[in-house]
Amino acid sequence: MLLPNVTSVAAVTLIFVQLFGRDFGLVNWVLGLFGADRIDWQAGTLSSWAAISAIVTWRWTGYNALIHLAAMQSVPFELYEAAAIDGASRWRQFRSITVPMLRPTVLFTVIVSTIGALQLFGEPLLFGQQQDPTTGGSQHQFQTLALYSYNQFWGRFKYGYGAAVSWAMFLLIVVVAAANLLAARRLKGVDAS
Amino acid sequence: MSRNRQLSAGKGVYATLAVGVLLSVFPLYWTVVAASRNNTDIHRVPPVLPPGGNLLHNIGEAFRQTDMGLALLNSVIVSSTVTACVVLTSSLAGFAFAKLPFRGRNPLPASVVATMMVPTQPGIIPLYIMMANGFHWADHLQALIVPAVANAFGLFFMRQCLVTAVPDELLDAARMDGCTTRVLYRHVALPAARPAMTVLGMLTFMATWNDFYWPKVVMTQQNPTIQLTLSELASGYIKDYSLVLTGALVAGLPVIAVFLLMGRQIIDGIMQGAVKG
Repeated sequence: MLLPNVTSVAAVTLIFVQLFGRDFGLVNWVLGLFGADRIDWQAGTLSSWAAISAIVTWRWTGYNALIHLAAMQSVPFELYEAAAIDGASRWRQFRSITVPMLRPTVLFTVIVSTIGALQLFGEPLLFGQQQDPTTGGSQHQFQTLALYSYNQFWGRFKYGYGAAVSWAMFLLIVVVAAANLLAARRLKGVDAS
Repeated sequence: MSRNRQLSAGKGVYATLAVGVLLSVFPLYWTVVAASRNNTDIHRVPPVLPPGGNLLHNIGEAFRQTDMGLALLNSVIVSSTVTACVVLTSSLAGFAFAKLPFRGRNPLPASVVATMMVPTQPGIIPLYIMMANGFHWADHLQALIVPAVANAFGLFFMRQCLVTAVPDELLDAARMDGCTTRVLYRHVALPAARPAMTVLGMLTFMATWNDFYWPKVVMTQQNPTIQLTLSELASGYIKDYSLVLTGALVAGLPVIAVFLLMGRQIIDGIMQGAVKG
């Protein structure tokens, strides 16, 4: 499960660019089996977002699963035993024991993933098929902030502007992470711990 | 936890897991298939799934069309130098912060760890200007190595490990017997920290080997790392996907090998919360 995570961004993205190919990609072939039309994944806004999300998700699922596994292993077994004696079903045990005990872990992975995703660079860069890959698609449809910053300072030598974009990105990350934290607190109520 | 085995998994769970494993392994398997065939085979509909016999030819071709030899050499040099440096600096600093009494022992590591909150990107442009205009190191391997010789994560990781791994009494006893600080580091701290240093070393090696952003900024195709060569291989207008994926395979192999050899320790590291994404 961790193999995708240790493989480099560049290699993984190139593999998926092939899989998401318009004419000969396996994804379109499988979709075709269900009668769907071929999708030009790079061309559309939504489709390119979906494809890039798929790449990132594929790379990080195993890693996050491990973190959740570690957290689950530290849930005391007695809780499940007691719940089972009280007649709680498996699903009920999961809802009322596992999920609450895992909340800090879920919060951690949500925030870390959000921060990581806000900094995406390699995936959209290599996903693009344009002459200038830093534009993030013909209509900039999948240009991320990191890509935009790189495009400005490396392609057009606007160092100051590029640096400003990076700092704006940092502020955005802080805001989004804080919002995440607040939302998680608000939604579930503050933990007794 | 073996007691958890009492909860036996049903068929639905196994089926879901099987699909999950298939989804996470298939793209890698497909890379092997594509790298061992030719471009026409990859584009066949329906796709052909068993690996072919074209792998060596493809590797030869990839080496001929790009500077893959140079890139591999560069990546090996950079990754191993950075790994050695990071393990050394982190264990030294971690030892000092964990065990040596001095003024600023608490605020200093805290301030170093605080830098982990700032993402890499805002630092990239000033660092580039420094490397290119200050040192004139653009496109030299130093530009990849020198900024990476020490990092906050390594320091934090080694400090956490040494705080618990080496009891203060042991250090006091050794000091009574006349050990200097250097001897304490070499003969008391290092042996205790070896497992943690191994994990840190592997993580650093993999991260450096896989790094794409900073090499992309500071290096060119004249003196690439393997990840840059990989992107070069994919940037042609008409792509030969069997070659691109051969490159991906070659670039991925060393890391996958490290992972298969030492995967257990990496997984343990992640599960102890040592590794951050």
